[in-house]
Amino acid sequence: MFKQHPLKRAVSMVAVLVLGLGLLAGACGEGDEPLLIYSGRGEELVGPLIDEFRESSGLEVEVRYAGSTELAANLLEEGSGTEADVFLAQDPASLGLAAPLMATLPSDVIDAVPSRFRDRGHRWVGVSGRIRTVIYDRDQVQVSDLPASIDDLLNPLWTGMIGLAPTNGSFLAFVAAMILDRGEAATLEWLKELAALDPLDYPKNSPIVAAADAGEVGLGLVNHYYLLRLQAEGGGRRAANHFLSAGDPGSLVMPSGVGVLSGSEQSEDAHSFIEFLLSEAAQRYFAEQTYEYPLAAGVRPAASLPPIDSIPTPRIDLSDLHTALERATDLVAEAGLL
Amino acid sequence: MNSSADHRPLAAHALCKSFDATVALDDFNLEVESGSLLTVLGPSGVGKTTALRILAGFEMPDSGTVRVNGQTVNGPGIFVPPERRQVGMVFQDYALFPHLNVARNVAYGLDAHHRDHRVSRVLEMVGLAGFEKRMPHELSAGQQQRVALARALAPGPQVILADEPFSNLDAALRKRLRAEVRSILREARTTTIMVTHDQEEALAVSDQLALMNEGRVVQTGPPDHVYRYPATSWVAEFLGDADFFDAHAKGGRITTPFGTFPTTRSGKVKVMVRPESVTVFPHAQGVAVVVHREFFGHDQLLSVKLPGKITLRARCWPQPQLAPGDRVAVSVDGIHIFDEPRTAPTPPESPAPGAPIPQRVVIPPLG
Amino acid sequence: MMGVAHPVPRLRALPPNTWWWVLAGVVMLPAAAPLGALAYGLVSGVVTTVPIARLLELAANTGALGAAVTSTSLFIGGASAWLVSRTNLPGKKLATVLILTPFAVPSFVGALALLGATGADGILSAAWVWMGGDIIHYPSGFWAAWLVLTLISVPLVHLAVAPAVRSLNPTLEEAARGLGAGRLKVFWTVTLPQLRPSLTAGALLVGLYTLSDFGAVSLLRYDTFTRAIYLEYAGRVDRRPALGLAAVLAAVAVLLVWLERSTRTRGVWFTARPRRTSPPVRLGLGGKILGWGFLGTLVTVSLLVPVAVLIAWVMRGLISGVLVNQPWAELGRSMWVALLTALVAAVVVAPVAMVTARFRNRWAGLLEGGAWALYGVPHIAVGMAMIVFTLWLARPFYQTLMLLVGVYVVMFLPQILGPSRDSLGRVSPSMEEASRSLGKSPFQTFMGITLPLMAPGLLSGAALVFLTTLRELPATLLLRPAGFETLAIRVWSATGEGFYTQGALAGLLLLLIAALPLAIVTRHELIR
Repeated sequence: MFKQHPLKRAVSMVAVLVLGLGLLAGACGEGDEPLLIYSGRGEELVGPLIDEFRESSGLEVEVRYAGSTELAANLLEEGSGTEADVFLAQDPASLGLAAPLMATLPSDVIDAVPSRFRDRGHRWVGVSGRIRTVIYDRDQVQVSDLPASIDDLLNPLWTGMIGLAPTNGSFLAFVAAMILDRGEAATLEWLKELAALDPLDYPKNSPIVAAADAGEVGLGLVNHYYLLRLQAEGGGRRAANHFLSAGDPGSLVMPSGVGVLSGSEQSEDAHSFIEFLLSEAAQRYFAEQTYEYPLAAGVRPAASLPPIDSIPTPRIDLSDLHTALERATDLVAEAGLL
Repeated sequence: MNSSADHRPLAAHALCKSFDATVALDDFNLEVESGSLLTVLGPSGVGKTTALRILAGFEMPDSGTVRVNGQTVNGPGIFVPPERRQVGMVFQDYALFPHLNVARNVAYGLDAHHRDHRVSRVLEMVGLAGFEKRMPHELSAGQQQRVALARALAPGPQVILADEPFSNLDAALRKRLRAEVRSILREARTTTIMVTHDQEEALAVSDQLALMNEGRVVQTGPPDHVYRYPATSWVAEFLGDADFFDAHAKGGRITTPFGTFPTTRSGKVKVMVRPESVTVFPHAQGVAVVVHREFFGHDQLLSVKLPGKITLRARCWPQPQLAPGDRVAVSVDGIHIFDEPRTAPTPPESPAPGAPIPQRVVIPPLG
Repeated sequence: MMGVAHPVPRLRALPPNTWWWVLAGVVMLPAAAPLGALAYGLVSGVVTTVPIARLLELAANTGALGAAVTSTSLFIGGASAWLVSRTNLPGKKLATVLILTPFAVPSFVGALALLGATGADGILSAAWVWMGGDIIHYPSGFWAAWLVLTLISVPLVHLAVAPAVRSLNPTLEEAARGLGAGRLKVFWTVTLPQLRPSLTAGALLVGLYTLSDFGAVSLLRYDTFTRAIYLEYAGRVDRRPALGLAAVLAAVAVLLVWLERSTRTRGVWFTARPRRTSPPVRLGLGGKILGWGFLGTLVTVSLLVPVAVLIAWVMRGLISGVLVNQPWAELGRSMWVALLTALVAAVVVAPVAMVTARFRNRWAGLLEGGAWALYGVPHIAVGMAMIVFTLWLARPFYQTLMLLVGVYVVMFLPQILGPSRDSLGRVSPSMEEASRSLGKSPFQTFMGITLPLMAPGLLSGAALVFLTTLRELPATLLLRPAGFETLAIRVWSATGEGFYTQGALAGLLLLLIAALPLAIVTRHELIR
């Protein structure tokens, strides 16, 4: 008949409060520090691989997924106080930015990978390779018209037909490579001429590939593996990859890579993560699931891909790519492509 | 500190309170006898509610003391919060808890011990047995009022404070309910301080009246006493109808157009006449002329003009039938004489300690 | 006479309300952090690092989108409010529910639906091609952002305008008609001026919403402030340009909030309830068909099509077997963090509500104004500010859940402050005094009387906070702890990567759990 005693009510209220604070505390609770990976590669791509590592190593692993550049910038801001142990990035530029914060890797880890896909100072090592290609719609574009170099792309023939992802990291890395290869002025000129062709812009590479496959664009600047992925899903019958033969930045081979932060208290676990990434199982995963080029353990890429050594690449050291990255963003914006 | 003051359920001494520039209370004094109903009466804005809220502990006085049953609850360096004062309160808007039913409202201030018994006892007392499960919004205004009273009575407080408890009711209900409330309080033998601006209500229900003006109590006493012997012309005018005129006292008497009255004073004085002490009858050679008539059925109110620019009102039987312009004779069976301005000789009896000394002389007419 | 005098404890005199002030101050203190960081950003970031041409370009883009979205949603929302509130159109309750539901659709889910519908592999594209048409091209930029944001803003306008339409004073219109004015003239000269305050309020709300939106403009690639802030943040090592842009955006938003609040108080006269409500306008059969046609199109485009597109993508993923990464963990995190935020907000709001409802002075105004200002600051700006603030001055809180929840609470406080204050307004202070005089301490009084009476407001406010937390994207993106991927993050990243299947499932789940609190929030609107 009567209400609860106010004291009881107060007690239950306090209980709710304590519970709430407890939840909050539990969330930020201490415990065994897990291995924290900053991953600039998306969860869709590397999530299964990390799950496998969790299982095989029995380690507790936590991942922060974000853009590679964003994470590199965060690492620089966080400095030596960062919680991160491992930085996994999708391009050498981001790795280069964060390299001052990274520890030298043991040589047995480093040596598994060809020297052009790792840091001069042995602070990061490539784990998989992607090649910039031109995707094209076979119905719209004659093979004979296909460009041999990025300069051929500026042909008015392609007006309104090119698909771009100007904010995407791999496009920016390509621009950075061009800056290193040709200088800023030439790069800006190239970008401006490209902008004059009214390219269609896309948020990422994959929709460009889908667009080429559906005839929405004639050409697109992408990485090689999106088409293979689309084909695995049953699409990709109309589009094809074209590898530029001139040895310019248009056929940049870009490794994704990994390094260990020098402040890490779990560098042993971090090293075993890198060894895992370079193991045959993981390399096979890159070859078969993400259609990238494996860089170690003698694993062969997908059958439809040309061997990595047959692709002419620009004469730049990937360890320097980061020095041009910020300028690349500026130039893309200045050319009006952003 | 005398012992009688110690045992009073509630006593306030020399309370002062200002809000910014406004003075609400200025040397406010009040004491209430155990078991009696004291009404603080005064026009709006005179500080009544502030006084009540200080007694209840909702406001802090700037200075002065309050004692409940001899214990100081407001004083220098002392402030006892409302919940520890044993002072019940009935609010103008009743302040019933809308989310609790009648029984829970009444039980709110009770311990678990004997709660059910006490709730039904109090609800019975206010005539609401069987309403336990009703929610406040399902009750009429009068019922809500009685629930508020029951809730305040339930914990058995030293004193109940009621702030304009009847002002939210319509006229008919108000009259019925105040009689009921009076008898409930009497049955419960509770000490009550009520605040109102309604003179009729104050006169009808109170054991003691405290007239308040400009932040202080100007007169206390039983209602009929205060009515009959107002301490000041302000009290006289506020409490009931009164007509005033200036007169001159000389040689122990005051001469008026309606007779001569004895007085001990001399010089300029103010004379007050209440309408009910004026009798009027038709008379062709009467000194007065009827100027206005209001007829109420059970009586009538006549305004008559006398020589010397004096206008008096007379409350009399429905008869005689008089009309404006009729000549009448006037007799008055008592006047009040006030000094002008209000300074005062000492009166024979003093109604309450602490209250300002009333100054009035009531004089039957000569002959 | 109850006899024995109890020993009365003597206490030092303390003004009884001090504690509420202390509590409210403590609670609102953290709100100063983002505002301080933004002020710093305004001084340091803008002056030194943002080219003025870029600033002007962003301002023009953002302003154009704001104007376009505001005017169209005002028109559509005004019309729907009128149809539902002033006519005899049948099925009004259902229509109201359907019109208001898109409020639960976050802009990034709307963008996902648009992207998933169009382009080479879009659902609508496929349907259109099947019917013999061409591929519907990926919409991007201005028009795409305009479409998504307009459709989501219509419920905001509807909510703001419908009560005003309902309480239109019929005698004014009758008086005008009696003076010889025609219907059209009455509408322009009498009806519209009465609605102007609510229309203005709705317009400012929509403007503020468009200004703050991050999800849609970033996924649809329209270059506004919020997208530029994120691009600067994600693509550059130097944080100052991002912080500078965030500060400029915040300043504009605070200005809009101030405008919104000042029009609201001035609108009071107009929105006072008339004694008699207007009789509904009788629509003929043609009018009813037109009315339902309009509302039907609106609901189809803003609700049915997006949901159908999401469902189609999920089906597609299930059939092709691509849908492997199911976002159950994200679902759990989203619900949990939203619940936690709602709970903390409900606890924290109590003293602020007490102070702002019971005291009308400069400090209460400052407290409330501060809460509202933060509410209006776009979340990406708050996120940027807090990143910088925690990195530099409060390192232990950097990217912790505690910080994230704290930021949510501070940003969303007005959502629960408003309803709590309304409820509190119905608790007359005399009820609390009655409780005190019946022997209860201030704490007991708060627990036994004030809190239960505040509860309905707290509940609907907490539901609103829950809903808003679920759909919050930019601050979550910047401030979440490592591994704390929520449904919103999942939708955003999957959509950005082109994994529409994954995004669609997460988006659908988000809509499902957001519909629940929406039901609580809109209940009032429906009952009236």
